[in-house]
Amino acid sequence: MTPQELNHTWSILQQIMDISRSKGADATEVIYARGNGLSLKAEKGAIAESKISGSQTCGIRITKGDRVATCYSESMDENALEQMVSQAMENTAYVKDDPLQKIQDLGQIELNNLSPKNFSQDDTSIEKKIELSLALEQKILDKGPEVKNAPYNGVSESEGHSFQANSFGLKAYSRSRSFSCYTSALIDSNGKQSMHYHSSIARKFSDLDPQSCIDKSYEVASGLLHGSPIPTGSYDVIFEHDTLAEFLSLFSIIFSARSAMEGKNPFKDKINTAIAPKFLNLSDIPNYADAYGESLFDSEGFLHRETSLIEEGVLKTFLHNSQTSRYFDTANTFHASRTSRGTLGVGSTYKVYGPGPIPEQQLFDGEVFYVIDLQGTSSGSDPISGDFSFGASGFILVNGQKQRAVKGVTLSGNFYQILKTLQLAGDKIHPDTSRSIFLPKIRFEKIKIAGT
Amino acid sequence: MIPSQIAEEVIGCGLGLGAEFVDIFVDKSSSRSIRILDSKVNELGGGIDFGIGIRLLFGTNVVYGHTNLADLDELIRITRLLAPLGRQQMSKESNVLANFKLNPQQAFINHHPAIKGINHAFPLEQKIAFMQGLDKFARNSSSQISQVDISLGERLQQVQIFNSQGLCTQDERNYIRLYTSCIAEKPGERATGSEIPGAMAGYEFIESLNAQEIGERIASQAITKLNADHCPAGKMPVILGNGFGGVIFHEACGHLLETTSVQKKASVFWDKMGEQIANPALSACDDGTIAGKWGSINIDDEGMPTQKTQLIKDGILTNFLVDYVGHLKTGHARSGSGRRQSYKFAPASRMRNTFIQPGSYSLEDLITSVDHGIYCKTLGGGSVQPGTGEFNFSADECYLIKNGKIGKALKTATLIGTGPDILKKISMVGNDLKYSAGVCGSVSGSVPVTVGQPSLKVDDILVGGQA
Repeated sequence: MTPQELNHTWSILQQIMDISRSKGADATEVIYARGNGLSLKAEKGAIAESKISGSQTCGIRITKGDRVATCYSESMDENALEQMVSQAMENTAYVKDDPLQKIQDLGQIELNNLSPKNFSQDDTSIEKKIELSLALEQKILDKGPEVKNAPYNGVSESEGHSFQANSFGLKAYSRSRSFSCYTSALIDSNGKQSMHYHSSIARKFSDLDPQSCIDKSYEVASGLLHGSPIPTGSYDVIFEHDTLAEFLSLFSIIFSARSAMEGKNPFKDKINTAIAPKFLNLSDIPNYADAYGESLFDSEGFLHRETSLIEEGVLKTFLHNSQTSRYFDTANTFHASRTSRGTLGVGSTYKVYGPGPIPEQQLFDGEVFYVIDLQGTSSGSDPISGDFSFGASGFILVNGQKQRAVKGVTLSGNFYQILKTLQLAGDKIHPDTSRSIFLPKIRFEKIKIAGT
Repeated sequence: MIPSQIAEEVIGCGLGLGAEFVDIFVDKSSSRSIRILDSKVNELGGGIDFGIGIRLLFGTNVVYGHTNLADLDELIRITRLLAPLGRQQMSKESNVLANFKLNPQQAFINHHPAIKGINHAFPLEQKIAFMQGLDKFARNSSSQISQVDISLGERLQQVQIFNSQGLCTQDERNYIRLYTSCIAEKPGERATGSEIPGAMAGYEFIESLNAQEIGERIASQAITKLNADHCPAGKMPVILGNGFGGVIFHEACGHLLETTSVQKKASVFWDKMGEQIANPALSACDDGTIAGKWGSINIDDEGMPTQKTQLIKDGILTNFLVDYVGHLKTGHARSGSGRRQSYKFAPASRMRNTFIQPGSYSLEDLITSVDHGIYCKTLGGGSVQPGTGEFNFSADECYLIKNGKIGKALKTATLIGTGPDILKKISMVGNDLKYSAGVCGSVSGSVPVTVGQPSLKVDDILVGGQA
């Protein structure tokens, strides 16, 4: 954005706060998010779909006495902004008193997140992007006659700018730019079908790794083509990094102070108690060196800092904002999270697990089910009870060597019980594809698999 | 919303830049949400979504862009940005603006009128009182209920659709949905119950609901699950309850009949038109016309009046769900199924109210036909991989069936299979058709859909239990 555009945006935010004050709000917080993007998809050797997007949303949170209300608008004309503020003011008449939720008075401060880890200049031409999009389809088809199609493939680019201001003088700005590419291999041979999808993300177009997308999509789809169910029983399970990150994320409610405040976090009474074996350590690290980006401040304007969530198996704290820290009468961890449309919540930055005690290779001793893909993770998990039941596919490994491909099975259990009985975690840390979770390989013992 | 003259200039510009088809989707949504937590009004929010999507077609190549600004200069700017992306594929050059005129606006007939839509002056206090009443009924059902969370979402979507075939039309869609859930607890264990009714209607839909019945039902579901045994694991016969049980057809078959997958041959049914793909006991429809249903529409998001589409008749595949691009790519007639979440998405063929048509059996007939299996009374969500037909869905409240009788309650489990296989194993179809509201996510975003079915028997499906 040009300096003129930046100044113009700040003046609109000031205008909204002026309207809000004139309508009787005690304090106002405004978040304005603006983004644009490009995406391309190939089909049969040509670009079949191109998309250019531009969007903006402005959202306010106001306080009137002890009451808090929100409203948002995608339209930025004066009438729409007036209407947004009026609606929020009307809403304060109906909501409960919430003296613990405040708009923070941090004085006149200016925060800018201009980290090159979040945003890099990039002048890659559209022709290059089209070329990559076409290659993501063609190179899958070139893998062999058994490849029927690459039905899902594409290249995309997005840029986002976030402005946050409050009536006490906070001005916070951050920006980000991302590129991604993905492809899939649909293999059809002798009446059997198999498909796999893989993606790559980067801050610079040149840092994308399309070859890994092509190779991994093909290798996994091809490897699972003749997969079949294994006999129903209990198996030791190791998840591939992305799958493990997905699995653990389904139960991340256990770190949310807001969920605890709302009576939904099953670990609401477990602070300073052991929830996992001693080897398990987990920290939230906003500036982790290998992470995809860098987060400098939270949605209330507080500077982020490293937070230890689990130490030697003991749950040390939840992720807090100012409201939840008041509710629990404990220290704020500065993890406030709010989008322009939403209410005040909490969110993590980059989660980094510590290494386990076992040499990674040793985890694969004997027979394990190595899970490459889970299906139905959202509908098949209940973070409140901890129960899960998913479709799964992968390989049976014996001493690390592939013995057979497995698909058409389910994997089920209770996450919170499993967490307590973990014994085997590897000594190396791996990132997931999005480089937002860093974790060791873990061998889960005796997980129920339903198959033949 | 925009005057038709602006639409004419933008379409003219797109045609002048070489596009063979241009359409414009103007979308304004006003929404409000109320949340009751801890028996109090915890949140009250909402807002306005507004934007315009422009689509240019060069042959079957789609270029799509959107903006939040409604002025002519911005829309022309977007169109000029889009055209070169499409032309790269067509090597077509033209810079002459066409003198384009729309047809007179088509008469607007609202088949799903809302009496008490979001802008109706219905007292907010009464809505809050209904929700707090429901909260109380759930809490009073058992001392084991530790939390109740209720939200009411209301939305009015106003759309205008213009295209280069002269189309000029508009629609108003009122959506309302009640989200109810509760948690039951005993030492060391927790379970949830939920129900999420919705309709294309105003608040009159909520007035038709019984707060006591819903409150007691969600509490009973949570308590039942809290005390349930582990579900057995392995292949067995399953009776799927009516209503949200229809998610099995939605996932196992519905998505595979959308031209979004069919046109890429990324559906296992792409070449099966006219063939027997299901047990002859099974017929199924996708019907956008049912009055007031959550997945209903007057016109689709490409401006075509919606219709009832017979997908499968006596086990034979009779129709796909076809949007405009799907029609161009496959040759099948459009079915009024071009849908999208908002202006941020190009339309794609999507389901509306999809259901298995009723058969002749009672639920008791189905249960007594099973020696050892499970009865899934309520189901949760699911997903499918269209290319392979592999689907999954979760059984939320289920019971063991032994010797033709319903027995003890079981914990939740996921059921998996492949579409072509499972359609042939639906052997008995009940006579108790019921619908349930859901949200379906796919290439054109999340759209309201209804799933429906009578109770039915699947002879053999893999149940992902823990026992």
